[in-house]
Amino acid sequence: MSWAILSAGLLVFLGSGAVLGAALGLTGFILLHFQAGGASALAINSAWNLLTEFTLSAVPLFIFLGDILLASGVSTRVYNGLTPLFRRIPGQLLHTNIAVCTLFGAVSGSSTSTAAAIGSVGYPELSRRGYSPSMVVGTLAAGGTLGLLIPPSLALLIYGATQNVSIGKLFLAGMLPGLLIAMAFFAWIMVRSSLGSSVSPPREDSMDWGAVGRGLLEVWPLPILIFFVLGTIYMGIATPTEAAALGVAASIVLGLTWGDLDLEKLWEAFKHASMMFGAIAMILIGTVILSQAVSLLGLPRAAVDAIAGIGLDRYGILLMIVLVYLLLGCFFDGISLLLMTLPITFPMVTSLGFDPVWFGVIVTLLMEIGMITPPVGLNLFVLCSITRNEVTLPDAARASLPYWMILLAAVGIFTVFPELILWLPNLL
Amino acid sequence: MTGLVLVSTLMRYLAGSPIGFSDELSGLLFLSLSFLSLPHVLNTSQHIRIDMLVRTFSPRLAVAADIFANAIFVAFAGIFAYEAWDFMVFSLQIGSRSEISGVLLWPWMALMPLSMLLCILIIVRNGLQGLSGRDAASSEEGLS
Amino acid sequence: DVRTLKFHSGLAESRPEAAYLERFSELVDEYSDGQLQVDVYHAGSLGLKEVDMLRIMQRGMVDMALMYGEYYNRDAPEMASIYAQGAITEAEQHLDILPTLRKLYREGYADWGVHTVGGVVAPVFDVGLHCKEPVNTLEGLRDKKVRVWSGHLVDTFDRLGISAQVIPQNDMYLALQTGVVDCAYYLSTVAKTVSLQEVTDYEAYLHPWAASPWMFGVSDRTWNSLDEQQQEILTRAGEQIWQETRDKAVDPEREAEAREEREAMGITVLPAFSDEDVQTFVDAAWEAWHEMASEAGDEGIRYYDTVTGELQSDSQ
Ligand code: NA
Ligand code: NA
Repeated sequence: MSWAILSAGLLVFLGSGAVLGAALGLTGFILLHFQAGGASALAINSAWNLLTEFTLSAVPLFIFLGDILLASGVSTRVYNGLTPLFRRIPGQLLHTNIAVCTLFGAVSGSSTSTAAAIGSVGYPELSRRGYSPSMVVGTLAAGGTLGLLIPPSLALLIYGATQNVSIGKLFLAGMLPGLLIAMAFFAWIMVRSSLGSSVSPPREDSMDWGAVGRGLLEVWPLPILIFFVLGTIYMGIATPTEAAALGVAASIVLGLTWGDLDLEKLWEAFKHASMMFGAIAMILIGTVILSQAVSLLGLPRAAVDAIAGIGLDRYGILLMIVLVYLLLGCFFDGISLLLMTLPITFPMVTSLGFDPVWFGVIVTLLMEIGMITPPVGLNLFVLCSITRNEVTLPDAARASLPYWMILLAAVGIFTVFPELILWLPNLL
Repeated sequence: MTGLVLVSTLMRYLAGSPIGFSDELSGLLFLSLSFLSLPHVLNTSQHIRIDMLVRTFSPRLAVAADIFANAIFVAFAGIFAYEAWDFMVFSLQIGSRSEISGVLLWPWMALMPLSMLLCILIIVRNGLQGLSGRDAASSEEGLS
Repeated sequence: DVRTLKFHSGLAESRPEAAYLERFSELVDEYSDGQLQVDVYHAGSLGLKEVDMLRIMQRGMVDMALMYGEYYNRDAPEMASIYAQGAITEAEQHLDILPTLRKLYREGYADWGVHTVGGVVAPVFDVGLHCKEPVNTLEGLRDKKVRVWSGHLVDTFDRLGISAQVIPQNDMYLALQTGVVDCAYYLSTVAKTVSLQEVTDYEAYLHPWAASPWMFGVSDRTWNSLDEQQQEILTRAGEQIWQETRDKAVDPEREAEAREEREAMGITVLPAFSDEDVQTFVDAAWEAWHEMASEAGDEGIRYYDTVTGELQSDSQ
């Protein structure tokens, strides 16, 4: 019955073109009230908890940071500077999205902040330069997920702490798969840019090394910003939220001195950023209410319990678990899904003789897939908001499909060759 | 708007002296920013919707879908405001304070129902304007 | 027909206490011939947060929960001041004060519409300082940043001139790795479950864990919907778990084995903090405890006076 209400509610409410957050939230309210014995008050607790939790508080700051860089022209000059370097590679500046996301993933534990941080600068700059908007969103959605796998990773931390697995080993285990998947993303961008309809501006055949040199001279603010945002976290001076605030301060100084920022533009940037963030907040509220309802009803556990009873062999059960994660990935993402399912899937999988560290990476990959699986995919929502709905949710989902398949293929490959994951941690 | 200015000042304060401000405060500011910006986003229709299905509808059906979509929002915001009001009043009664800095919580909680009520008012106002606009359009059609 | 109760627990399944919840569920199943089932959802997998549990239980939004007084500082600060770290310096003291604690919590939860049926007496683990450098004196901690788990502990260390901050367990590993803090005040016995040995090299014992008992709460709404026989079964099973865990709560052998295991993992176990340092810490902890209790109002002071009065008369 709960599953029926869930599917019907989402189908009808989302299909009617209602505000996404309201459609998700109302479905959650209905489930809480009718299926969970009148527990709709719980929705407020979960919305309050999510929005006062400091893990997310870096998101609006990063969006604000992006808007300041944009308004001051700093990001335009940086991207102009990078253009000559990427001139001959198919896909050109699209690769910067993946590269910067990988770098950012190395300090951020969350994939949503990664997508928000890189997207708020990368999207406007690239779409203005004639790159296909949906292609840009696809690379950002994919790149964002790397934040969860490349250490430090919130998902691996929570996996390690709840299941008593070495967090250090998990971090080491995530590194190589994260880089391999980034490589696969690069490769796909090159393939897609060389074939089919045009997704990037025309390419030039000759390399103008003079332009490359002059361009790179324009890029100098980048290392400064990277120091403020990434360096301070590495050196233990700042938490991610504080680093984001430092980055905002640094970008204001850069914009006022080197760019053409003034108070009026700063105010505009602030207004723009808070609007964008408001759209994201609405979705966060709806998502958390729906997740609360589904988890209170114990639906994920029911799904996993169901497959335990079928009676399959080792790989059959693993396959079913992957399928259940893909199904649940339609409605959830990230940490909530992890907490709800691990108490059952972890003992199942490890009792079949799979390595606990290996499963940590696999389950993180499945979380990443959930982040970009519609209808409830937080990274997709955040990116649609950043494009101000120029790229709609279905477009974004379609654009992410190739990366979704790469991630899924990675699950398969790492199952056949577990050494790819375990080699590095086992050196320890 | 005043709220936005207030938050902006606080944000600049954050940006200016970030080290040492408590995670708790940034969480409460995050919450305030979220709820303060909701009505504004609604007012400028920048909320994300999935309209691929609706775009295939006939005009008459599209109007029906639009009314239904607004009804969904009002229902959601109404229930949320009701429950959030309850949540806030209860916290006021027992005098809940934040864990570390000991800040009284109910004024922050009050933002939740107020924001949602404001959203409902905006929908109702836009709906009335839409109706009168549609009436005007049809009466103009009738004239021509 | 079979009645199934949902039981929320915020403890990770890897914690030793969590196994007793499954045991409770088995006992209920056995006593009721399968007619009453308790489904335990570990690690907060029902999506519920500890700080909300009093409100959630009051409205009966979940049937049962593992209640822990120190979590409810926001809604019931007086409950958080029933017991505090530094209250005891010998593990046996915990068993002496336990009946009083149980009575106070039972009354406190009842005010929130929560009926209690026994629970898990938390094992009295060692609490120590886990540092990147060798530190086993309060003096040595003065120039260190320390991670603690509650506001009361921040206040206590503050009174000793040591800078401490609350960092949630999930963020502790990274905070130590990146140097946001130099030391963690943590339950040494279970330090392995959060991989502390990977980010700290030294530990020094400070005092036994003054652990509030984990009580099995049943929301009144659920309790009143059960028949007398079902109520009796829950009470009997809960009481049995209480007795079993009480008997095992103080176990020097367990602590010694865990310590050896940590040493085998490369941790250097330093000599414990001196008696003098412990006394200084305890004095500061009691002052901070008193202040926390007075902020919580008359009820908080009543709890504080009851528990400290009894602790003092026991030690005389
Ligand atoms: Na990361
Ligand atoms: Na999803």
